[in-house]
Amino acid sequence: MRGRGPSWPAALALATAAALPALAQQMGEPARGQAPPLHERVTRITGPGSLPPPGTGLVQRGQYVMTSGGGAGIGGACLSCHGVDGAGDPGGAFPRLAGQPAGYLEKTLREYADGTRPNPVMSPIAKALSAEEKTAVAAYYAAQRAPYARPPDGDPSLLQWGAVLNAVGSAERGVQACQNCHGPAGVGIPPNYPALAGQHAAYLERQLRLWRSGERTQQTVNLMGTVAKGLTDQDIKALSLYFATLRPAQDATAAAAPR
Amino acid sequence: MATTLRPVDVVLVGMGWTGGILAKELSEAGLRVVGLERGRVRQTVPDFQSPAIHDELRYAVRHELMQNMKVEPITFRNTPDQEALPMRQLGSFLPGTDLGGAGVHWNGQTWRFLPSDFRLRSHHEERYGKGFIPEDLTVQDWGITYEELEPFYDHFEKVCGIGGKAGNLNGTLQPGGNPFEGPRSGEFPNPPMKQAYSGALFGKAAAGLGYTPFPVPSANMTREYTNPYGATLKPCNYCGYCERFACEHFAKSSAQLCVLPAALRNPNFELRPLCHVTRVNLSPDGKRATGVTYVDGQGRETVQPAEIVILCAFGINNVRLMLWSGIGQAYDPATGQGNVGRNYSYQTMSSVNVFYPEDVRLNQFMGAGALGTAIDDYNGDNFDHGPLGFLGGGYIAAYTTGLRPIQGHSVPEGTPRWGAEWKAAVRRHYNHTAGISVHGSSYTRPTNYISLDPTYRDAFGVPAMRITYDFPENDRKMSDFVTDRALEIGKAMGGTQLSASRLDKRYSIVPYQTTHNTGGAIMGADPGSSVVNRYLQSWDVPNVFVQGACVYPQNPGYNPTGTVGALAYWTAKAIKERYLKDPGPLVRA
Ligand SMILES: Cc1cc2nc3c(=O)[nH]c(=O)nc-3n(C[C@H](O)[C@H](O)[C@H](O)COP(=O)(O)OP(=O)(O)OC[C@H]3O[C@@H](n4cnc5c(N)ncnc54)[C@H](O)[C@@H]3O)c2cc1C
Repeated sequence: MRGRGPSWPAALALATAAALPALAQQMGEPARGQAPPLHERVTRITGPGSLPPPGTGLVQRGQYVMTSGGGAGIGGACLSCHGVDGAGDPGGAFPRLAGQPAGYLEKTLREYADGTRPNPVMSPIAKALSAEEKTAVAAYYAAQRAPYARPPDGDPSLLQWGAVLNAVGSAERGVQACQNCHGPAGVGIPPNYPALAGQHAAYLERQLRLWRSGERTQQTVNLMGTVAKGLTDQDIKALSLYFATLRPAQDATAAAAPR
Repeated sequence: MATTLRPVDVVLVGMGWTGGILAKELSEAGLRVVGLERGRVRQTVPDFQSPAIHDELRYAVRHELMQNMKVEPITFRNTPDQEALPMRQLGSFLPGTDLGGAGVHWNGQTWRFLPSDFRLRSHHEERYGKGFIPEDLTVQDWGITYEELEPFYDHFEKVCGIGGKAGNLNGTLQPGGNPFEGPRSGEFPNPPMKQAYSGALFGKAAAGLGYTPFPVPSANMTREYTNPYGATLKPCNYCGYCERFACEHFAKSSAQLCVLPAALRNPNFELRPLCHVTRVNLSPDGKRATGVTYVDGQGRETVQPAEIVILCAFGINNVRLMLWSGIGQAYDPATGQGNVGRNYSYQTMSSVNVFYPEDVRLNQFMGAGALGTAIDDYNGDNFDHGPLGFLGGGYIAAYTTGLRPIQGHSVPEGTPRWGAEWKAAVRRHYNHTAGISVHGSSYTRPTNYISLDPTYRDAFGVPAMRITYDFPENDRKMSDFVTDRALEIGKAMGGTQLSASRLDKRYSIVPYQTTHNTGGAIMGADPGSSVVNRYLQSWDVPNVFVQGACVYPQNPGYNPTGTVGALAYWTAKAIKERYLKDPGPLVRA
């Protein structure tokens, strides 16, 4: 994990400050100022370790999992690594979750839990979350927007090559164009295909290597595995840089919201 | 004045599925082969890339990948006493243009015909007695058997990487597959597709009624696959844009992906795009083809002399070229003389919709061209026709091929055809309606045929193809019977409402049905009743071979391309192993 996550009260303070206006709107409540502070609401609605009662909005229930860690306990609270808004961390271990398709996030949690996607940090957390908690927290991060800071362009020819691979792939090497599945400009196609635009380059690079080596795979057709195995180190760098420099879709919220 | 080029060994007219297969096979045999394609060259990259390739208006509605009716019109009438009129735009069927032909925008449902389909007349006479076949049905045997064709089916399926489950391996029935199919020498090269929700509902209902559901054989890849020629295809992601679209994922078998790379590696083969063949040239006595004439991309008329001419221009286009070039005698329905154009046939398509409550979400915006669950209990002669008074049948399938936003809206009967109520019904039913298709045979009759239109010509001055066609009474009875069975399955699927769409009163050229046009240059054992022999070689001009579904004497209840591909390999072998040693008729008349 990234050093040690922020301590619980600090995280909650962060949550309150950063996320309250958006949350208030999502919960269909009066705008900022009139809603009680977040921690009060969390404890008011729920007892420890259980979700807010059925009927509470999915995003709101997910927010509870995000702050409390749900079944995984406070040590597994998402916000300590991914942040309240899901901005993640450019270091590469913590991907940007904000605005990702809820279906994709939920499936990822299931894959961490069942070992399809082995990860020493996420697997125990995902195992400890109930199915319902997975659905809820996926919906929560799908509904977030997070600030985006464009990384420096780096080598222009590398960036250009990433753009080419995204648009047309490399037929000679059996690499499909990324945008055939991930949508134009890496916006992602809910529910299955994650957004790539604005994702941290280090994270993308690491994942592409895992796909290439077969450490990351899929239970159904292993689409990404067959693509990644045609990529060179240089391709992986180029693609990661390219997607990191694309601004995330501003209105991912609407596209990703579960029905 | 036409320019005459240096002679080659083989000229292929058209570079779709059959042209691609023969290009590879014959150039490998050491022949100098030229492939003439009227359209342009196109490849997955850059031509078929997303998101532009999912433009439904451009491709599905405005037919951008298909034969242009303004350049090459087709005229149509139901019966010989009517005057045929030109189609302003394509409708009932969608022949392709440009490299790869219709094999680029096809669905990929890759079937074999039943053993009895190849011996249709003999089979029925053996089982039901001589008088059983109605007199107005001109059904006949093919001059080839399923057993002879089996190794070629097997090979074509390996070239394409078909995904499926065998139902009959060397005579032993296999659970999970189609128990009615002819014996296979091996399992499919790839596993079947993941079955869709509507397919699962269909399969459960059909099994409950005592039928045997199985996954439709699919040319949409189910895993990464390298074919015998070293070409690699990629797994399908079920995006739902196969039919009428080209695949951006390298995941749908086509000539480009499966056979052309191998052909193009061979220096004996030359692909010449933008060459529109207008005629096959014959020697003065009409007994030999000397080559072809084409108009190139700059409008120059060019003669390409060749030792062998092979027509690969899509079935019915081949028939038109034969009629115009004078290869064989044109069929005249008034006298019954001549064979070229005779036994044109089609497919009898009907369907059933099952409307579900809103909590049943079928998600049919996902899908693949050949993603379906089918039963074959009512195809061909798989059921007793004795008491029924008709011949033929069809498979019944629930397909999930991608429910597109412009064209995919089924609403229950009685819904207004436009306006607010229609829109509300579309919204209500879009994600909650399962479709069942009946893919039926069509048998032939004397007044269904292809001829040259006396009035309308194409942009090159060649008379347009005139199609005269209506469903024979036999097909109507058959289609109604099998559609009733589909309704029963639909009922068992548990929706709240059902609707059936049956054959039109008269066959109409306007609504899309299928691009399974067959006949017109039919194969057979007897030159008196066929156009080509069992090797698809012209009886009249033995250095002309004819490919495609135009050689089918009548149309079985399956999609045609599995057999089109198998026959292309069958022809290639006959040319390589027999014709080259002794050029001339491969079958003595
Ligand atoms: C929408 C659609 C869905 C289909 N789905 C299925 C399916 O699921 N299963 C199935 O079995 N079949 C299907 N088919 C049919 C399948 O595409 C054809 O059977 C197959 O492509 C036929 O191969 P071919 O070589 O005869 O013709 P094509 O593959 O069409 O190739 C013919 C080529 O000849 C060229 N040509 C034509 N005229 C000339 C000329 N005068 N000079 C030079 N070149 C010329 C054309 O441009 C074209 O490239 C479908 C067809 C369509 C349109």
